[in-house]
This record gives sequence, structure tokens and C-alpha cells, in this order.
Amino acid sequence: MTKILIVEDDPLMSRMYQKIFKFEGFEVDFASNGEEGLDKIRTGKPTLVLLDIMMPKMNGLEVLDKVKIDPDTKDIPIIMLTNLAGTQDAEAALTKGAVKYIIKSEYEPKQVVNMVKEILAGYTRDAVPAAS
Amino acid sequence: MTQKEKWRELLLKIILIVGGITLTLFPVVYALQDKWFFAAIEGLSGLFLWIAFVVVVTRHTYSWPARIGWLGVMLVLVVLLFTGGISGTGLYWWTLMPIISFILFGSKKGLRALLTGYLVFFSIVFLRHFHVVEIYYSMTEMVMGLSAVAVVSILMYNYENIAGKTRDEAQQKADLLTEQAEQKQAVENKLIENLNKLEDEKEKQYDIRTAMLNLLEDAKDLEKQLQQEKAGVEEKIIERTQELSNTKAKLDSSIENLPLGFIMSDIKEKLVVTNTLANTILEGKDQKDNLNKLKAVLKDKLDLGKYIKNCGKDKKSLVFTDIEINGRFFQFLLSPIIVKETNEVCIGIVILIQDITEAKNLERSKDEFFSIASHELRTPLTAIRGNTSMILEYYANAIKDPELKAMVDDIHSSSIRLINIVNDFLNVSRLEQSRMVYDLKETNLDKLIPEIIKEYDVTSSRQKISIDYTPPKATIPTVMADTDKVRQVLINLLGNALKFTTKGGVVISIATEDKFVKVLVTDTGRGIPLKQQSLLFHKFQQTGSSLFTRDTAGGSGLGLYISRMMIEGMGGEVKLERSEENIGSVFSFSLPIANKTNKVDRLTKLHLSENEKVDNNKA
Repeated sequence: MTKILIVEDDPLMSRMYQKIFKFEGFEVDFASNGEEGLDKIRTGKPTLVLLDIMMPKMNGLEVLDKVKIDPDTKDIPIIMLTNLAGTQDAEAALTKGAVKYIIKSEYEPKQVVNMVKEILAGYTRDAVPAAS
Repeated sequence: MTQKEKWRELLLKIILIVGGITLTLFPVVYALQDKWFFAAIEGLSGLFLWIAFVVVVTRHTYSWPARIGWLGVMLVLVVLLFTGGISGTGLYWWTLMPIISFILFGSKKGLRALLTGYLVFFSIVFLRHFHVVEIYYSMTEMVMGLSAVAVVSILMYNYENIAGKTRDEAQQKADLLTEQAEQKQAVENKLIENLNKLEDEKEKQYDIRTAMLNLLEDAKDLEKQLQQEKAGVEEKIIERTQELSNTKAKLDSSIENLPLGFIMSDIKEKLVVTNTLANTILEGKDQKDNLNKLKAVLKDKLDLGKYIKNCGKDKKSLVFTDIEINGRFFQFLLSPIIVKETNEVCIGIVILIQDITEAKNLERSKDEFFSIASHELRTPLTAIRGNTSMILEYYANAIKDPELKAMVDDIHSSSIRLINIVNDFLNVSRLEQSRMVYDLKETNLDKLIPEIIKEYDVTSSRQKISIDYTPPKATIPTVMADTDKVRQVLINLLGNALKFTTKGGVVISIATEDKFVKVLVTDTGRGIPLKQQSLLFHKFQQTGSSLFTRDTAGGSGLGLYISRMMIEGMGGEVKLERSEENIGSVFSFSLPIANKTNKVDRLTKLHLSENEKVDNNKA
């Protein structure tokens, strides 16, 4: 089963994304800060991670760096969640190896799921992700 | 003529007549004897002698010793003639000798001629004495001739000396006399001159006296006049001084009470004026010190000394902002003082120092407010929108009640509208602070626009209004644009067009216009009344809306304003091409065609990304 990890400190957002992915039949796990998120990426081996940038303890970019240098986790696709468009952080995330960044306020939960599905479809065709 | 001179004259005449007759006597005697040769010689000799004699005695320039000397010579010659002449020995020619020496005036040349004559004479005497040659005149004649010549020569020589000296003396005397005469004349002239002068002087003095008297009278009048004028001038000066000091006081007070630090310097940095605030800010010991401190503060940005000397380089003002002194931030305005009346001469510079710490703090907190507002508002709004949309989708069965469904629908659309408004506010704040980042790239609008329309067509819910794209007939050049911004603007224009159109459709077309590509959005909507057209593109303006009716359009009223700012930020222009009520409107935006110059990176970087700011705030 496809497992989605949502790393998001705001419970409102976190719960919303958890729900939609559950509704859409995904296995969902969540973390409410960067450290916890990194732990769960390492231990849980999710198929895909939704990673917020601004978080306490460890921010999304730091988590991304650590995931991408670890050979065990570097192939897990990561989508960054952000509040604003066109910021340096979001652009930086793409250069650091994130698949995409999503501006939370611009998309309905359903659209986010569709984007994830699209990305995963690409991956399954190429049979890259090891965790599935 | 004195008696003595008369006697002398008479004597001379007698001698001359006697001499003449005597000299004629010998040739006549020879002629009677038929000795014509001797007669000729005697006659010639006598003639010469006589002429010489006449010359000597008649020349008045000769002094009396010379004349006596000559008379002596004549006497000797006469004796000579009487003793040897008649014997026919022919030594008379020797009489020529003194004549020659006389003509030669006793000069060295004359002396040499004499000596040569003597030599010849002595040679003849010598030769005859030793009988080398036979000369038939007697020895007595020879000695007599010799003696005569010697006497004549000696006399001649002495005569010349005496005559010369006397001549010189006479000349000197004459000169002296002439000189004295001249001096006398000069003295006389001078005297006359002085006399004339005195006369003139007297006249002048008289004139002067008259003039002075007149002047004195005039002076009295003048003095009166002057005093009157002086009084007037003094009054005026006092008045002007008062005015000046008032103006100065006003200026001083103005400068002193400026909410800005004020420094003024002439171009030589000699006259420096500062106000208290400048003193406080720069903490200088005196005005000069303030200027030096300022130089130190600005040294990274500008050579202030040079700036002052060159009077603001090309008389241009400079502004330096965000300069930190002791933890506070200042803005410096440097401006040359130019006197317009006198050929725009620059006489110094003024420096204004504004404390912008508060303004900076305010700006920062404003920025922060917007960032936080965006973050804090949008998250819950996104949650509302997300959850309502999920309810509508996944719990359709649970909300079968149409009333409940309508309420959830309203919550959903409200949240969407709110998010849009918040986004608009954020955009406006970023645009107004010029913090909008434009990621300009070469963009093919002919490709981009259909894509945006397609995307929009899918997401927007609407009824029976069509959106059509008319492809251009010719190839459209690429433009420099930020595709995200173009998307926003086009969607905004499209949204407006759709919002106000109830029948018909919206047509989008593109065309090249000069150095721009123009995108036109044509609708068949209700149109914009002429008087409201000018209000378009301004903040919070909606056509046909008052404060109470604005909600009908359901927007923030910022859409066109944002579109305008964004397009202008990319070097283009948004325009209402035309609009007619109940027929429709045509809006357009243009973007500059990509060329060599605008292809260079025009990306404006943010000083601080908004995320960082929010991070700071959180921390």
C-alpha cells in the first residue's frame, strides 16, 4: 500500500491532508516537527513525503538535506509544502532534490492528492521507489 | 677801429705796395736786358712771394705774432732778392719752401717736406763744395739761401705753434663767450618763462579763489543735502538690518528647529553651519568637527571632501540611506547650493540628516505584519476551504439537506474569496514596496496564453460564456516576462470579463505593436461608463460600486491595480482600450519584446525572503 508521510506542524493543515489522503485510500502517517519527520522517514520508509518548510526544531529544508544525503532515504520523493509562492526557500528546495513545491493556500486538498498521484504514477512506471 | 689798428693797416698797405713794386722790378730789369728766361723766373718767384705775403697779411685770423713773423720773412726775402737775385743765380725757388710749409700748416707733413728740401739743398752745397758737380752760383748765395730757409723754417714752425695755440685760445674764448651768451640767453628765457608762469599762476590763483568760494557755497548746500540723505539712508539701513536680522533669525530658527540634522558648508569648508540635531547625531566638538565626523561616516560611500570641493560633482544631489551611527539609522541628503541669479554658481553644499530608525522600524513591522497576516490568515482559511470541500465531496450523503449543503457551499466560497483577498493584499504590499520579484524569461505568448486559458477553463465554474483564443496571423516575437505574473494578470482580466458578461463571450487575441506584444481581452459585457473609466487601475476601485454596493462584484477591488503594477514592473502597460455600455470592453496588456538589452538578468532579489522574516518573528 502507498504510504504518505505528512510532516506539518500546524494541526489544522496536518489533519486536513491526513483526511484527504485517507479518503483517497492512502496509508497515512504524520509528524508534527522536523525531527520527528526525519525519524519517521528513516524508520517508516514512506512512499512519498509531504514536507512543510517552516517547522519548529528542524525546518523542512534541513530535513530535506538529511534525507537526500542518506542513501537509504535519498530516493523517497519529497514534496515541499509552503505558504508563499516564488520564495527563495521553495526554489532552494527544488535544487536540493525536492520533486515539487506546493503553495498550500493555492490548492484544494483534492488537487494536492491529484498532484501526488501524478508524481507517483511517474515513479511506478519507472519502478524507482524502493519503499512500495 | 682803434688808432693803433689804423696805423697797422696803413703800414701793411705800404709794405704790400713796396713789396709788389720791388718784386716787379727784377723781371722788368731782366726783360730790358733781353734776358727773358731770368725775367720769367724772377717774375714768377716774385709773384708767388707776393701772393704769399698778401695772403698772410690779409688773413685776419692770424694773430699778430704770426703776422710779424711773416713780415720778418718778407724782409729777409727782400734782402735776399737785393743781394743775390740780380746776379742771376736762381735760388729764389727756395722761397717756395716756406710757402709749402705754410700751406701744410706746420704739420708733420710740412716738416717732412722742409727736411727733404734741406737735404736736397745740403746735398747740392756738399756736391759743389767738393767739386763733384760744377754749379756756377757763388757760395755766398748758397749760405744766404740756406740761412733764409732756416730762418723761415724756424719762424714757420714757431709761428704754427704760436698761431695754433692762439687759435685754440681764441676759439676757447669764443666758445666761452658763446657759452656765456647762451647761458645768459637761457637765464633770460627762464626769467621770462618764470615771469609768465607767475602771471599764469596769479590768474589761476584768482580763478581758484573764485572757484573755491563757489565751491564753499555749493558745499554748504551739499552738506545739507547729504545730511538729509544720510538720515534717510540710516533709516533705510536700520530698516534693512532689521529685516535681515529678522530673516536670519527666521532662518536660524528654521534650521535649528528642523526635524533634520542640518550641515551647510561652503566649497572651501571654511564656513560650516550645523544645527543642534546635527551636533547630537554626529557628536562633533564643533561645526568643523561635525563635518569631519560626517566624512568618516560616509567614507565607504563617498569622498565627501571631494564632493564639497567639486560642489556636488555635476551639481547633483545625492541620497544615502540606511547609514548606521551608534545603532540608529540615518538618511543623508547631500545637495549643492546653486545661486540661480548668478549664472548657476555653486557656493556650497547642504547636508540633511534624517533619522529613519523609526521609519525603518515601522516599515519592518508593516512588512512583518503582512507576512504574519499572510501566514496566519491563510493557514486557517486554507483549512476551512479544504475541509468544506472535503465535506462537499466525501460527505454528500450526510448533508442531503439542501439548506445545510447551501450553507457549507457558502462557507467554502467565502473561504476562497477570503484567500484571494488576502493574496491581493499581500501582492499589493509587495508591489508597493517594490519587493515583488520578477523572474523574467523569454516567453512565447502565443504558446503561454492558450495554456493559461485551458487551465482556467477547467478550474472556473461558469455558464454559457465562452472563452476563445484567436491565434495571431503573423509570428509573434518572444517577450521578456514572468510567466506566473502574466498568468495572474490574464486570469484577473479574464475573471473581470466573465464577471460582467452575461451573454456572448470573451475573446483573447495577441498582436505585435512597436516594441511590444499586446494581449487583448475583449468581452461583450455591460461596459464601463466613461466617467468611471479613469478610476480603473486604482486601489479599491470597482466600476459601478459605491461603498455599499461594492460587494456585488465580489472582489477586493485590487485586481486591476495589481495587474497594472505587475505589468509595469515587467516594463509593459495595462490599458482599457475601449468600452461601451452594454456592448462590451476591451482590456489589454503589453510586454516588451525580448532583445539583447533586456535579456540580461533583471531579477530583483529580495533582501530578506518572507519566510526568513516569519522565522525571525517566530524565534
